[in-house]
Amino acid sequence: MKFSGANENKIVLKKSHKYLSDTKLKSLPAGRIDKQYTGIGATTFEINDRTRNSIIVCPTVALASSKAFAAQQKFQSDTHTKIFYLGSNVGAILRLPDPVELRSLLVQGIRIKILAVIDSFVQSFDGEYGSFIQDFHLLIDEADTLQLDSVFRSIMEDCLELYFKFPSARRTMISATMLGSQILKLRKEPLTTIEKIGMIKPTIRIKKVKGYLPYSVGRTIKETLYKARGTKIVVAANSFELIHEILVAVRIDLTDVKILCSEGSKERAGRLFARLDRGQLPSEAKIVFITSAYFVGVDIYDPFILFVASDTGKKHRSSLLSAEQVFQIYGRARNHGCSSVYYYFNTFKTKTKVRTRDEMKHKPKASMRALISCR
Amino acid sequence: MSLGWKKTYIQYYNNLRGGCFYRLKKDKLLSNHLIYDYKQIKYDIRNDLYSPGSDVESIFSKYFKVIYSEEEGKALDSNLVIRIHEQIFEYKKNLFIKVALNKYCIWNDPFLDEYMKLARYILLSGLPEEALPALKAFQLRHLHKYDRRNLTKLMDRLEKYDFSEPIKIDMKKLLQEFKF
Repeated sequence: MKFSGANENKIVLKKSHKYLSDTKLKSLPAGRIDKQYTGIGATTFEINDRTRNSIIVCPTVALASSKAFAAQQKFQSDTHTKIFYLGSNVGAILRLPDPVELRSLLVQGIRIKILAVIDSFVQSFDGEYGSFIQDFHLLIDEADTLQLDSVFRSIMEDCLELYFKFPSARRTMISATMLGSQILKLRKEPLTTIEKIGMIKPTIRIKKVKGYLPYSVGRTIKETLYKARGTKIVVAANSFELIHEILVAVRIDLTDVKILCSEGSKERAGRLFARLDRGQLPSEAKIVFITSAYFVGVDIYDPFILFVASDTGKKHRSSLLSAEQVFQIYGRARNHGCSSVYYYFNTFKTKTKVRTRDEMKHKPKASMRALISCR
Repeated sequence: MSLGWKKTYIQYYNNLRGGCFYRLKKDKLLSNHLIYDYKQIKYDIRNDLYSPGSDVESIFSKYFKVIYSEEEGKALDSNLVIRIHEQIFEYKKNLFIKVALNKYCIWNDPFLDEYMKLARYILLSGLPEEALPALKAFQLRHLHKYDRRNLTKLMDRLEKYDFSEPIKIDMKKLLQEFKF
């Protein structure tokens, strides 16, 4: 293991190291960690860290609850460690106790690990659990979602505010695809990158489509479905509308289809809605579409062929996928379960005009005034 | 301006206009700084990956071994593509009619879009009266999207809601039913 620089550090995983726990690292360092690889067990490393109490904040219910469930099973017989879940109700997972009981557990010296969904974390630790900030190490998992989801979840900004309330030595944010930021406070956070020696890159087949993308994607999916015989097809699309267009374009039978999306988008998926059941894809579906809620963090243990479709069409352009996101989606496969990756995309006719920060700020203010003036 | 209405227009921006530069925290309207990061990231993605002449192979080679090819797909003005769009429009129009006219139906049909969701939200959430004119304006702006007759029906229906107590209780029940 090698660390270099004052504000920029490096952790090197040797060829023989599969997980972070295989190294001599005692605890995850504070600040930003760009882990660069998925599936190296960073969250598990924090859960197993017996030197501190931790709050591990995940962007979605699916992610926090599945990790809490797995951790609870692991620590079932360990009387010195308690795993709690903080988020909306998902069934038989130990919920975070009230502040009095939590304080009593801390006084007894029980090691506490809380798996929290961002929204519930902010509501609780900005409120009645605020006095516990000094007792925990905060880990924000899949930290790039703070930026990527901020467009429709303003709670992300509240989460970032809360992050800075934790002492600098007791806060970490981690992602396999850490993004740059214009926020000065965030840029000042120490950065640790993880480097893995001897990593073999997976192969991706990239297809640039000139013309109507949903038809090209749908046609290849249909052909693959016939050839794959039994292997499921996972399709990551950059919008719900694109899923609809792919299905209509090549008349895919809806009885073969399921959509894995967030609880918030459940009604958009209607009867096609499904959940990942402990890493297993819905058994009745041959084609499983996934939306952004399943692009990070979750583990898929079933073997599958992956299609990623990113269309610049008018209805889809607000959520175009980056290379980092495609890598994250590929990283959902466990046990080398993803046998092939296809990426279909098209391009705009011209370059996009980049607005400065001031120009960005001015525009919504004006249109918001117009909205208010409708009264 | 009431808090409910502020929440509604922030939600409107978050859902339909590429994000709101403001957020509500403890009843105060504050800036949402992460939105700037988001916008900048999106500009970078658009120009680096989805613009003419973009070097996709080199961008992806950081993570993958790349096999690159190009395909001449169906033309956007071909009969097939026009037919696909007509089918989708027809499906969505029927779905919108369902949403607008039947508040008790179970939303089992896939592909409710943001406009339908917003219409449903408006119907179920019990907006304060002061929000109604702006809401009408919003709907008028989107009349061309679906069917004028059905949207007018939806607006008529909203007129009937005086947000008196029985209606509020009724709406609360609906909210619980749909876990909105």
